[in-house]
Amino acid sequence: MFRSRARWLGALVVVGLIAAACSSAPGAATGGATTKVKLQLQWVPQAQFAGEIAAKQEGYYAAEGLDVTFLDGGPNVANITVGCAKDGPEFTLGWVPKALVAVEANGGADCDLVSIAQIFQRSGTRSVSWTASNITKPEDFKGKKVGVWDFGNEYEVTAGAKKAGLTVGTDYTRVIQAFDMSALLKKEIDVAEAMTYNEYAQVLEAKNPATGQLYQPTDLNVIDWNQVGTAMLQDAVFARKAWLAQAGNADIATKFLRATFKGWIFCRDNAAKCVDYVLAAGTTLGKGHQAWQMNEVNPLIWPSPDGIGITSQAAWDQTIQISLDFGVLKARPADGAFRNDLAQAALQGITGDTKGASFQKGTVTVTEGGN
Amino acid sequence: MRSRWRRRLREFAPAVVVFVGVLALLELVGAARIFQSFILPRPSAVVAAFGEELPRLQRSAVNTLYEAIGGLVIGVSAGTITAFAIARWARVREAVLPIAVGASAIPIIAAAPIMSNWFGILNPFAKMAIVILLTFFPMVVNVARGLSQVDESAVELMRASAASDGQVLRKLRIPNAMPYFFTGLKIATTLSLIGAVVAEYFGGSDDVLGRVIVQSSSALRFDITWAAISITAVSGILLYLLALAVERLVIPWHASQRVGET
Repeated sequence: MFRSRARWLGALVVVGLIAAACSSAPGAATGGATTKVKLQLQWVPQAQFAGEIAAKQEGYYAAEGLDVTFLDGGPNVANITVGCAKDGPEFTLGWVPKALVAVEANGGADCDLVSIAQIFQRSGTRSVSWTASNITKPEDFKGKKVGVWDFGNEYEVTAGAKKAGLTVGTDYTRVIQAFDMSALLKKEIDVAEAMTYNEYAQVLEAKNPATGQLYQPTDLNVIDWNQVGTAMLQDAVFARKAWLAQAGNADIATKFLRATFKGWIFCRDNAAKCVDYVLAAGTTLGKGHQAWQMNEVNPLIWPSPDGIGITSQAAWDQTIQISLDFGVLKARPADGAFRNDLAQAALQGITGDTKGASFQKGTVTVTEGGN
Repeated sequence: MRSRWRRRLREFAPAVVVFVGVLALLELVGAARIFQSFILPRPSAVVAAFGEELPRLQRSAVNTLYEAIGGLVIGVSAGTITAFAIARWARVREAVLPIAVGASAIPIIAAAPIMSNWFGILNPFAKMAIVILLTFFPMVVNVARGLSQVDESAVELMRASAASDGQVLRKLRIPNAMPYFFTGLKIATTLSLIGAVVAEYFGGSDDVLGRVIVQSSSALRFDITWAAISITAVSGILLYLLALAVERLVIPWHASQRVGET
């Protein structure tokens, strides 16, 4: 057994060396040459990724010597799975608990994603319901049809319900939503999971057949999981540990983060310009919707008390604790599941305001259908 | 009797050997860690996943089979009835056949969210509707052909003997259509599970095999994914064998049934 394994390893090493010799020759970025890297997006191009899109459009990536290709996500793309692959993209945007689950399920060796920057400091997940249903806290889920997305997007809601002492299946019915709000609009479900920057707006962009007017925020009750205490860390930049360990790659990652942070700072200060960039990047939803989204994404990032991209130990610990308490993770992740050194180094080269302490959320008028 | 069993055994032996061999190979490849474990989980890991996730897999299998079999029954019945109407009246054929062909050309993956929207995301009929769309067409085409492609001289003989339309139908057309019906049915059984699982990809109940597949694969638990896929495949095979058994009971006289015996 050991001999055969050794032989396998030997063969792999040989193959690996040949592959390395073949691929590194043209790809070696020395001097002024640009380095090609890929970024797997968490979802379809939209203002959720305005910072990355702006970093490209404003030339921040190019200034760092990077040529960044975006890989679209969406309902049929498992971004974390793509990011784990050995030949996968260098960088992956994903939610922290989803990545941790994938790493745990595969022993850490086969999926070795490490969070290198925490873009969103707060969770954008809400559970919305009609005011008539009078569901204002997770305890009110009892006996209701509660919509969630799966793909690992449901942890905050299910953890919140569990915290309220409710058991799925007996106390409430868990329904898997499609990625739109039609089930709530048709009142097929009582509660729907919604992101502040996306689906919540989709409800407000729909007409209330009773009044002929758009639905108003006053028509909805919103449960904020940040306040319930089951919020988890969302959009973060992940990279493969083995990739980071290769010579020169930590430097590439630092440059990538620096340009990305600059993109987000730009979008904080020039939201309208960023909406145009997002629209130019080929988004499916309209201008009104992207303007709303940009306005909702900024407060998830700003203020960033320790500087954009820095993972707060407290928020990380809460994410881990909830994951453990509610069975998302079996064990605490190994040390080094996130690192701040690359983001710290990236912040070093930025002169502007990286914390946004005085940030104030703007207002955006909802348009019908988000057009 | 015994020699027959032995012959059966010999017939299936190569398939069994290949199947077990492939499983053993996968296990060895997994043990050698040539691929990342989520790319090719070891068969033993899949078996372990069965144990770990058994209650959920059971609930899910029941719900998915309900959708698949419900849609299968409706699709096969509706397809057969339509085929009778098509074979009887040329007008119906002209009116219905183009629509049936058109319906069969709809990519079901595109129809699934529409069905959810029409019938409700929680209504199992929304999933059945996809199965119906998939199974209806092969039934119409097969049964209609069986009813109409009869030996013309046999029809003439019956007419000469003053047989009524009903008698021609009962004594000639329906027996002639039986093998065609079972051909369509066997195709429909496997399609039904495909339809149900695809439909589940677009939301609805949590406890269905399609959701288990989506959730486990996005968490990189491909051992569970393979367990759910195995259940789907085995259910499809069982439904197929059931159709085969009914066929043997109903039309033991048909040539296709006797081939294996000689």
